[in-house]
Amino acid sequence: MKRGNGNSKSIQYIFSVSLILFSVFIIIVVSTVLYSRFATTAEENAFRNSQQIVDQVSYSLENNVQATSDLFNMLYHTITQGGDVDSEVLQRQLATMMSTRADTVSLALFDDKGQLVMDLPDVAMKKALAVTSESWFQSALDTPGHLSISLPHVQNFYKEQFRWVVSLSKSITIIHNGKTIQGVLVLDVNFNTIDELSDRVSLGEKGYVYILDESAGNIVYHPQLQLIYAGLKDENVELALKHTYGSYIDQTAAATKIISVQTIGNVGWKVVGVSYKNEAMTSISELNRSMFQLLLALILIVVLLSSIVSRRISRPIKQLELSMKNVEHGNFEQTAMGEGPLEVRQLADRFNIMIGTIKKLMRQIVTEQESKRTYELEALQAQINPHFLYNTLNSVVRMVGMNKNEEVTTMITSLSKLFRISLGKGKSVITIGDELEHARNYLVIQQMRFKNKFDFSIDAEDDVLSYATLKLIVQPLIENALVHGIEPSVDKGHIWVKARLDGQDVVIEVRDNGLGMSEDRLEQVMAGQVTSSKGSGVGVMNVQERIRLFYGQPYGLHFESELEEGTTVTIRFPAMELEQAEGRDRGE
Amino acid sequence: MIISALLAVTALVLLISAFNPGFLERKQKPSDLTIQVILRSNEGDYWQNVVLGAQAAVKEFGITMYMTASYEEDDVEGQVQAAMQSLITKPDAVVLGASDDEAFAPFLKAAAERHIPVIAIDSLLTSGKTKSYIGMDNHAAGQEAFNELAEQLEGRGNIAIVPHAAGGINGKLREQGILDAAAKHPGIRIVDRVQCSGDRDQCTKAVSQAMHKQELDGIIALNTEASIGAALELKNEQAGERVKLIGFDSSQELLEMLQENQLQKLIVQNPFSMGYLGIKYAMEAALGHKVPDRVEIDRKLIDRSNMFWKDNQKLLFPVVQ
Repeated sequence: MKRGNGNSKSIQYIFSVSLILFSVFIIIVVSTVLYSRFATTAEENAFRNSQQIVDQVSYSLENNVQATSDLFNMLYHTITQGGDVDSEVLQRQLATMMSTRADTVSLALFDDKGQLVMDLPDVAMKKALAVTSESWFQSALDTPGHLSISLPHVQNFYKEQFRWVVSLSKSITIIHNGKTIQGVLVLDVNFNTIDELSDRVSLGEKGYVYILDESAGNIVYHPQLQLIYAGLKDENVELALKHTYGSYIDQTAAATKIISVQTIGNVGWKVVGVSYKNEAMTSISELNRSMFQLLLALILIVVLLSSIVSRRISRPIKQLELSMKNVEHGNFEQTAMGEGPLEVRQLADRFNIMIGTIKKLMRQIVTEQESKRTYELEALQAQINPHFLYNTLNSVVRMVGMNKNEEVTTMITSLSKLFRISLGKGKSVITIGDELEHARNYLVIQQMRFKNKFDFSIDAEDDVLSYATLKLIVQPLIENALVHGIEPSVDKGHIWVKARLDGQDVVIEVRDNGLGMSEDRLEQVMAGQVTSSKGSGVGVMNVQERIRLFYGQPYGLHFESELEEGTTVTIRFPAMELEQAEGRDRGE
Repeated sequence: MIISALLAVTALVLLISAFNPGFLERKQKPSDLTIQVILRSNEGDYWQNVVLGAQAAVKEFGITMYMTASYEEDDVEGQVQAAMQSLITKPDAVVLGASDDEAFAPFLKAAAERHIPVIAIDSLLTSGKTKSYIGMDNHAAGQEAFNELAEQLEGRGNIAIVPHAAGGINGKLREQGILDAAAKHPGIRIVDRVQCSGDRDQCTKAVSQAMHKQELDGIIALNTEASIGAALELKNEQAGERVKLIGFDSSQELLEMLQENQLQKLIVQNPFSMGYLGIKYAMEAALGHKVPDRVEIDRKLIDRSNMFWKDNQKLLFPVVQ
């Protein structure tokens, strides 16, 4: 992992990042969908809610106004049809009618000069009564036959009483003191009912309802009327004046408001509901916050989860890595633990199998080396075979006795050369030139011992001489040819030794024209079951095994033999420079 | 391992918080604030109007308000005691309509030690630290009262001033304003100063004594009780037309007598605004916002002709009844 700078990331990292990206994506999608749906619904609800409340207030108010107007009209008709207004019967009748409604304050009748004609209830009036300047008096006279309803105002009739009332007034023709005169009838009703009705309404925490007079834009009722008059508050009545019904968004102030309007037809007032949009939307911001926290929590959980999961994955891998390191350091005994997920277990199993194979191969190499050395030793031992030495020396003694000094010299020289090459410097690899020289010396010695019972010829291409060969592979074959081919034959024999290149391979051929071998015999020779007591004792098998151990399976000896015709043994091995072959011998 | 545990706990807390809004909320919102209002009285139109204004602000800003008020306007000791006690509940801010300046010094000190901002309404406090003063410029009001009377008397005459014992620092400032204005009107002489305390009857008596002592052309009464007392005396003596009276503050009785021309002018404050602004600035001070040192509430000069104007109606008759 430390080596893995650049693009390689740890499993944990990949895991966490992809999981986090995935969950963030999901949450964002979900919250966006939720938010948009929620926002629309919340706004619709806020609008509907506000409008419903305003409609209710309007309805109650309209009813109230209607009932009051009805009462006024009843009183009006009773007075116009009841004859003289001073009659006590009429006044009692009017008082009874007034008592049907709790919120009536007073009924008063003035003549067109503003002089009081009659009032109910009969309480002490103010001395300085100046009704002509009051708006209800003026409007009743200005629009005869029409019922005017005033704005709420402080009643200014009675001593030490200042009550908020709404005045209903209408011009009237009455009989007073037997005379028919014009006058104004005014019914004052308590504003309390309207005030309480509007004050009780709540539109959210801060929302409120106010009533607007549409003709002049005056505020009839407002919970914060004092603040408006004191200039501490502003009410944007423009929007409400523009519309007769519906809910609208008002963005003129810092806080966005929802304005709901309903018009009360019979009095010309408008009920306006004001609610704050952010109040209706609090649930939205809460949702937002919750979503955000959910997102954070999920990210934390994902980080936690991915670190646990990836640790479970990467720990067996790290253990495997540790086992591999052990193997790197030459400790083949430890096997990897088969823990963790299936894939890692399989990997560990494969690794263990591999280690097993390597161990087997190593053991094989050790045995191969051992047998190589054994065979080589055998071949060397063969060179100092006492039997061969004894025979040769015997021949020398005989030749000395016969005074064949020249031949003695040749024989001794050949023997010495033979040993020099075969013992060498303890090397198992020599050049083909040396090997052929060794063979030639051997042949010379044997030729002299067998008293020219055979001829020989050694024939090698020049460029083959410098290539490497295993030591002592040609001599055993020649010995074999002598023992099994030439010796039993009555005719004079001939031995040919040839060396040449065949493509990448070196081919050395040892041929005799002796007796040849039968099929059975050939098989026995090949299997190494024939050993000669007379010869060096090193079998053909020894040569075969050494070549195969050194060069590998396809190389080695090839026999061709025919009875009475002779035998040809061919050695084939790859052409190698001496150094390369020596290196291989050392096991490099 | 520790990191994992920490992560798990954090995740859990966040999850709980996500499903229970408000679980982690520590932030101060106006709705969490408690504001203590300490008034020197809850009687009379004036103080009821202050309370109405405060209640309007409470509804608008969604805060919690506790209110204590003395039964007697001049019960200084009782008010200080109540104020000190209210600090135990650790309000976020205090709105104080004090009955005395000096007596409240230990309270202001205690509040400052607890880092509770104090907003003075109606009466200016100089004995300690307050965040803000919301009220009338009483000195200017005194001057205005005198100038108004001077105009009524056409620049010459003998007048008396009627301060009230419970007038406190406001009364002193008003009186000072009158004296300062009087210096510029040589034709008008302040011949008497009759202080009264307690209820209107005592003020009536005091004014009566003053009127019998010398010939008076005009009277300035410095608070509600004094104004009512003086007006009643003038009414008794049927001297309303002859002796001009300028009063302070309004009540139904005063307005009735104003209509009857027993007195000529009333200098009226807007206590509703005072209560509203008191709560508003207390809230802002509690939230650590900057508030103005001094907020002057407009005063109005009310007479017979303008008392039924639309905007004055709401000022003079705030409660719908």
